[in-house]
Amino acid sequence: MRRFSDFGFALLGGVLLAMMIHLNSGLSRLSSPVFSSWVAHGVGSVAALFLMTLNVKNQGRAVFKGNRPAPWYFLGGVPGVFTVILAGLTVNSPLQLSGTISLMLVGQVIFGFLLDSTGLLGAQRRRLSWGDLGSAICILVGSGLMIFGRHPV
Amino acid sequence: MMTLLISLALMNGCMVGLSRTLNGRLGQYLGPFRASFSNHIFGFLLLTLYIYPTWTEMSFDWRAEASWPMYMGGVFGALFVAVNSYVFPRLGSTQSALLVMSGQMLTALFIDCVSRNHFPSYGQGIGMLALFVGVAWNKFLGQSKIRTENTSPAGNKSPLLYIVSRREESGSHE
Repeated sequence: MRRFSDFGFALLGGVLLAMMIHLNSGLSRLSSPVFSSWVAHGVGSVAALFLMTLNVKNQGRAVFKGNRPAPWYFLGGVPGVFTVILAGLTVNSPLQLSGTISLMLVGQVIFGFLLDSTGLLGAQRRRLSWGDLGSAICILVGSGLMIFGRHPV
Repeated sequence: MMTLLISLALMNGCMVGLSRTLNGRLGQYLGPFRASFSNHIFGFLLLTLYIYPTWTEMSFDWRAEASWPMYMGGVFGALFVAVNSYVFPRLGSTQSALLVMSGQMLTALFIDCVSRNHFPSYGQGIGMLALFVGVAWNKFLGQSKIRTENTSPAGNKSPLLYIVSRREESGSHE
């Protein structure tokens, strides 16, 4: 059984992500996906800077404190930017928004499996159980039904 | 053409995973909030370079059209990256991706239904049920066992990044 705090925080992350996308998509409709992403990154930088000033206990909760991270660990924002640009291409294609989102979810899980099983990029190697695979299939199928089963607009 | 588009979208999912992995990794060194800041500031700089050439052609009157909550998406984004960087190394990439996805899908459906004032369709209801089963399964039965105690800062020993980790190793001392 997983620790409840990790489990809960991961779900909370999803809630925050959906809130961000909801707010940002309004701006995206009025301007463009790239522009709205630019604004979100700018506002996000300021917000993160503010969070850094908070004296939260977890701020210094770094596992490898005192060690220098590899320089490319700082580049997490770069694939994030490519996500916006690539999504702009596929959303305006026959795949549409629903197809793009579903395939991106599948891609994320494939990438996760790859990383967990090989330990690439410094990830811990984990042995995935059949239960993990089962829950992955349930969640992907459920997400697919929620995306494609929408009421017609 | 379709194959290209599908692989592009799949690759985009990998990009999301890559971004979260790097942030999670950085968070292990600097803490989640600093990782969030780094993610946003580098993304911001890169996007600035990308949109700068077309800046003058942009016909967007930000004062007239958009309401202020639309600009607040970034605040949630900053919190999200921090939370994700925290859980990522703890749960592993597959599990954190699955759980974030579940939270996201359920919230998105909730927002969708509230803002358009309708109930979920039957298909969505069944989808939600499957999602709940998956999440409960994950919570109570999931146990991706850590195969190798790989917690040293040098981290990975995979051939592809062996050189990088070697250099890291020589730079740090436990």
